[in-house]
Amino acid sequence: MYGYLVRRLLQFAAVLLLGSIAVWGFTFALPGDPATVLLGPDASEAELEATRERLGLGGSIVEQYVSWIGHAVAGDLGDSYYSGQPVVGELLDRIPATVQLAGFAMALTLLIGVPVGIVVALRPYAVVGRVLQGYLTAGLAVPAFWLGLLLIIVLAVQLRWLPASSDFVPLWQDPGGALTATILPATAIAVHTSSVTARFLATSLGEVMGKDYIRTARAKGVPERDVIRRHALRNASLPTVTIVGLQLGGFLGGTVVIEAVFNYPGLGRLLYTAIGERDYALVQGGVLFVVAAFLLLNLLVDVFYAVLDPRIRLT
Amino acid sequence: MSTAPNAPTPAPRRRLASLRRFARSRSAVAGAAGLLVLAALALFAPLVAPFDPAAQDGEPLLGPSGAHLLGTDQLGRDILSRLIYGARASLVAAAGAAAVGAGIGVPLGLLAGYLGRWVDAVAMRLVDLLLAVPGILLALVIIVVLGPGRLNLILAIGIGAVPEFARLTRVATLSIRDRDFVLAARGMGASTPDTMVRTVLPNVLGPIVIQLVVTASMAVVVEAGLTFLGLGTPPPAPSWGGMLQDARSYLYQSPSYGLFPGLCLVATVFCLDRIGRGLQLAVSGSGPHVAARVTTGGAV
Repeated sequence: MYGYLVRRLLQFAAVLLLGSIAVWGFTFALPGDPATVLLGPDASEAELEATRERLGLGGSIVEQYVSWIGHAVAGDLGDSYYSGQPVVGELLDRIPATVQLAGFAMALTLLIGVPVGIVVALRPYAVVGRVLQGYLTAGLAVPAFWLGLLLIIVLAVQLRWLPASSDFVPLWQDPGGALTATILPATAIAVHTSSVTARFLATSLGEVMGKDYIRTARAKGVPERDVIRRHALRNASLPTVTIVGLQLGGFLGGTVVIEAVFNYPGLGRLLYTAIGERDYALVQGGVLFVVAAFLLLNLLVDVFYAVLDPRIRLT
Repeated sequence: MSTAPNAPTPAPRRRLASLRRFARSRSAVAGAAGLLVLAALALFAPLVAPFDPAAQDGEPLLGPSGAHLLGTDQLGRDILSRLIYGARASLVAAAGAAAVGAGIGVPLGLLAGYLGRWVDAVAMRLVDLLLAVPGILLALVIIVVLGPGRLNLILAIGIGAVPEFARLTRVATLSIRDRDFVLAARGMGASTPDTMVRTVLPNVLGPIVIQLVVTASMAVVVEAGLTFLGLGTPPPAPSWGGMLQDARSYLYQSPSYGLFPGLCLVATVFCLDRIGRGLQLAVSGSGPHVAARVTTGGAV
């Protein structure tokens, strides 16, 4: 177990290091001196000087990276060129909105995906199974952002039941308001992701159902419900855990288009706006955050995976 | 016949059998036919489209009617004609991104799987890093660095597909690296690059071909998403994502406008998905529960 954890931690550190180098190198890939790239054309000499100091420009390339990452770890990612505010503050402002949308979307994904996956696996040729398989095929083919547009056209424009653009209403302040504001973007995302999850679960559950230990469990008289719940689902859930972890990571920063459709003030929209405004300090900080969060999430999934499946710890 | 023990069935015969299995799947054949029709429409757009896609010769924002079957956009251009021309942007992005993804990912996976050791470690950490950035965000950042444009758009989407190709190729390579026919090739004096390209590569093509189709469908959606954001296919050329962006601004005046480009996207992705499933069946030959292989890139 410990060997596995140590190996995973080392991998995590290596990829995070690579990622931070790539994000740091981003400013060098753009034309112009990095301080000017980050601060924009009309920065004062004093601002430029402060940024050059943070970036360690003038030192060797290693010193420059160390200076930058040192400040980054201490929470200094520079200032946004557009707003003049610290990048870290701008990111922190948007993270709750993104996390809330991700939470809603993931809850819906599991609420739809898990039952659908189970039914499709256990009753592939029954009417229900066929209908749900149709849902899976459709769900995979419908782009989330277009579904969002359709939901707006029908529910907001035609029926006027829900708002066309979604503000961020914190769940802990107004649960009902948060639900109405988040339900449309979350649904648009979840129809696709639940189809992916359900397909994975159906595949692995279908494989597991053919295994000898299921036949043994049935032969020794275990009720079918327990065979499925305790023997089949447990084993089949493993690949699904991986894909769900990847999806959750994708929700942080991967919902740029959905957030644009709904005018939702999340991290994706912040980054997209920053790109439009050439606010590269914000882009840099945002991508660094997304990469770090994604890697951390994956590390947690892998640890969870090892807890679920003892075989993993040994390989 | 005197073949070495453990030698795989000769590739051409195996491919023929796979092709036959593919042809037996009705939905896969329907998907392939649908895609062919789409490609033909895109190719012969000037002959098929009822109007010039740039001509502003109708009333703006008309609903579907006899003159303009699917209505007109905010500049009075014929929506149907623009959809037909728009297929070009989608199909080019799909093919290009799949080529870029495979072009970088397959050699990377082959090297990692066959050489192992530090090459494997470095290649896989690079892959992990690419996986850590959501596809659409990765494409956005690459476009910021490279600048907008069609070729850069294809590169940006294709690079996001590299990890899947690399991982698949690596796993397949690992599984046959120590098989007798590979060792035999080595024993007969084939160099390492020769063995990789002539002996290993032909025997790992199955999963790669499937991934090409999966990548193409991902690319169609990502291209539309990026163009919807205004960072994909540059404006004068019609594209489905760009049309959806326009439609979003006129939701109240012309709700039907937003319907059609999306339906085109759905139809394209649907056809590709059917083809992908058919190929999976053809390659693995298993029953109803074929291993699902779906990228998360479609969640745009």
